[in-house]
Amino acid sequence: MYEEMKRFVPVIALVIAAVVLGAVNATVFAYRWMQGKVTVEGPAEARGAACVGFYSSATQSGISTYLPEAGTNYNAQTYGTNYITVTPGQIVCEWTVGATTHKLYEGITVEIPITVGSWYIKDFYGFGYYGGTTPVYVYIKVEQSIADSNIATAYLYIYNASSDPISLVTRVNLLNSELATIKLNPGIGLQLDLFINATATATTTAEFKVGFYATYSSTETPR
Amino acid sequence: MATLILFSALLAFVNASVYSYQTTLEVALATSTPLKVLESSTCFGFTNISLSAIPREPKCLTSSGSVVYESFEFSLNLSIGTWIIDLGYLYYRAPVDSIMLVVVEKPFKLINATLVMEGKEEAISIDLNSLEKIQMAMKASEAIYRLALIAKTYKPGTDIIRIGFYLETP
Repeated sequence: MYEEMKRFVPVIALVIAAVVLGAVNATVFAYRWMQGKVTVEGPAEARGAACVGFYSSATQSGISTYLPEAGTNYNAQTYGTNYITVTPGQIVCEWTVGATTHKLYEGITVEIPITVGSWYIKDFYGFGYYGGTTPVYVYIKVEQSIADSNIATAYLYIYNASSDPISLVTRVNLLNSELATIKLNPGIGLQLDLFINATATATTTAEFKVGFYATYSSTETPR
Repeated sequence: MATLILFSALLAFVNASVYSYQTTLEVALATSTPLKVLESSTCFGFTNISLSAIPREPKCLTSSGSVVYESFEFSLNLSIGTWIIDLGYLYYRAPVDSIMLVVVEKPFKLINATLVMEGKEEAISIDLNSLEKIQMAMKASEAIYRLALIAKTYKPGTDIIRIGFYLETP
């Protein structure tokens, strides 16, 4: 009798252990969730940090009433029959006065044909902040630096087009992953310049990408 | 001849303000099974939820004393463009490793978005436009992930997202 019980005890214990193990394995024991509702407004409703973007006063007549002249050389000739071309992305902010709608763009793709040597491309496009009442901080970050050995030097110069005289705000080295901050008050516009020194022996295409992050925070940098 | 191509992208980001709650919690200790023990010794949920979100039921506290919530609901008003929105943090504390299953239960239809979960050593991007299921190893004893929403909006409208976080024992 005693022998039998002894024999059964571990078996029962084993069964319990197996059940517990099974339960641990099979059960999702915590469920958490997040739910969000996002309402998207059109560019006509965008104000504040959402109404910051690229523009050229040369392509939009009347915008200079609200933002300073900038982007005057968006289609300048560089050498021979080569010209700068700028392709704006989607419209992030717009406002209509009378029959004219003024627009700020989310991004621009710029192609600048140059030859060997040093080039200074002045005011190829503008960047401004329309509307709003509080300043925004624009963090300029080199997301993709130039990794082309034919380019010896490359800087993006940023000038404040609203100041008199127009003054240098900051300079970003496009060969490094740099980050710069600019405080923009409503109505302020910037002129973007580029300095490049190319040593190419053959035709080359150097690409770089610069991110402009607009935020109300003066301390929080983008990642 | 050299051609220079410059891409400039504008990204707006909404800042998350951090709440600090003063709440005392009583953690009920379940006893009966090892699973219950594991459940009671695990603190899993959302903490430091950003200003635009409404947290729901408080569950436990982080080791530094912040309240960890079971769920939260957020409401965002955006305009056309690219946005980076800090939502808060996902917190995990347990004596053992676990597997977390992130499930996009209701994907976005109107906007293009990814959820970035950024931990100490890795960052994981989850596509919020399809019914994604991603497994992540949650390491004992403590792990924290920053939750950021990167949203690209193209046209006006309203959209709803729901993401579930399932914790499983390995």
